[in-house]
Amino acid sequence: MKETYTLKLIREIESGSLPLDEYLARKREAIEKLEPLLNSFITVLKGFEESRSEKLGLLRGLTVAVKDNICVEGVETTCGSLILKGYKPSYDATVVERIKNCSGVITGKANMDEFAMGSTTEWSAFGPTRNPWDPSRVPGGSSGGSAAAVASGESDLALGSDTGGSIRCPASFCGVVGLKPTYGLVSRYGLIAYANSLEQIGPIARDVYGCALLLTAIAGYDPRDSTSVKKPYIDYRTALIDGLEGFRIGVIRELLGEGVDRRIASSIKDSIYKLESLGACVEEVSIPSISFALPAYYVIAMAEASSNLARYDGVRYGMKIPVKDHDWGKYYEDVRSRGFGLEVKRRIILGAYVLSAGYYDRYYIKALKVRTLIRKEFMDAFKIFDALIGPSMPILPFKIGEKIEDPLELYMCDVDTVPVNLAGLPAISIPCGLAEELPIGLQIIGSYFHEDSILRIAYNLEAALDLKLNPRLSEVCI
Amino acid sequence: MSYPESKLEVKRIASLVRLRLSPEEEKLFSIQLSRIVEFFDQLDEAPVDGVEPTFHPLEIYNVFREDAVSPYPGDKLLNLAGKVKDRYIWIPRM
Repeated sequence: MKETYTLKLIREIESGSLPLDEYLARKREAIEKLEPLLNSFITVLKGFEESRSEKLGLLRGLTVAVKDNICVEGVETTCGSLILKGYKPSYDATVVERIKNCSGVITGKANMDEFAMGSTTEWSAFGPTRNPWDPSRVPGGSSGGSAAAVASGESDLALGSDTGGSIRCPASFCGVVGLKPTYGLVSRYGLIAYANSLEQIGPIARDVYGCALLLTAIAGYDPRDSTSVKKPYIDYRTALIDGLEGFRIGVIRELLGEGVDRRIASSIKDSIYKLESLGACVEEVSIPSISFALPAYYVIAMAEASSNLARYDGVRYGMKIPVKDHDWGKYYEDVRSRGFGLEVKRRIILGAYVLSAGYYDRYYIKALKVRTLIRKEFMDAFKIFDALIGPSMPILPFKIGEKIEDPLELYMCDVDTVPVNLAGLPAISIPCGLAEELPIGLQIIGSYFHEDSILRIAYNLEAALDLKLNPRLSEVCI
Repeated sequence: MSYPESKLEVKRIASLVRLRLSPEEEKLFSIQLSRIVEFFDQLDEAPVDGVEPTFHPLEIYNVFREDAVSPYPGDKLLNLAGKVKDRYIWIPRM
């Protein structure tokens, strides 16, 4: 097996050549130096160096940044929103419990777009995260803090959540590996809901090995999440096998058409040649309904959001303000108007609109029918192909502030990632090239519960490309 | 199909979801949200006649668990609400 960054680190820790205390102290130092420049974290855990377990489990004491919409007991969990400021969950999310049991060291709560609604991490109430490759640019979103922390070396592993691309987008923009698992593979217990039928928690790492490792730690049935699926335990590291002979890979035509940056299209084509040289058979495939995926996704996501975010009333947890005139209707309005940011308000209002009488069939039900079409077309493609590929993002990381004024233009950035969430499929984004010293991501989509296939393809492509990924802001540069 | 500002009734929907918009937000949203709804109208072109809706990506039905009590530290949850008395949340008078 090729010794990539994470595997090398684990071997050093196992052999004792890198004492765990020294490793964790180094991570603390990296966070202290880089945070003023990057703002990857909303909360850094005090004394995380002391939280290591005596007996080393699967994760061997590696550091994990946890997106701030995933509950860690006793640690402020804000979802990037003022409305949850001060909220300290009374329990660990299942994924956090599993990471702790596997001796992962949780370093902090990673920055994110408010309630995971965004593609740039600019919508965080706690300031934007910056891209380690170029701090004037966005890191992608909504798991931008998680991806920036991993790219810069502030953390070696991270958890993100992916509702419409929120793991794959920042992984692509920050030049790291991010995997959105099949819907139901990873428990959502303790993930603060935005759009339940679309979202999954997944791993972000410097390399494919790290992603396989963290996925192994967090995947599996959980009776506390009724949508989690009973599957036998898999050590996803065993999927990292050399060679792709016999693999059939489809290139999704609709994802490489108009609107894709030519440098990205060219980099994807280079990767296709590499895949062929590794023994895979690569052909073009069409998923025609992808052209309706973006409006369908936004209708469904906003509808679910308007319902989920109704719970924030300023009574049971989170933001509280004095009640005036004994008027509770006014109180709820005051709390919600102060606590939610612009993008969250937009989505709650639109979600309520598409669910209202007269528009429910026209928008919501129609979007769910498009979902059926997309799912069927993907399933048809997987009768022929082991995996499908395309770009993760149609454009390179852009400047902070460049698109924030125009919500529709920002939504368009998600065009390559949302089809996967509508269908509930697994997908991984891996770096496949650089343009103007900014990373490009390639997306590999698998059939249901075939994370092993996409990890194997990603692992082989990563080794064949052998990219030198050195972001401008990282622990080795400070 | 285009939506005149009045049709989306931003202010009315906002009040239904317990949001009070500032005059600036209201002005901004009435333009932006109408444009987004126009974008949603692309769904009119989708060939969905006779297609069943998919509410959920997996076909999971009737998930049950054992009808067993599992202890939960209720005090921890109640304490998040701030003022608590005898396992009730203390709220200001209505």
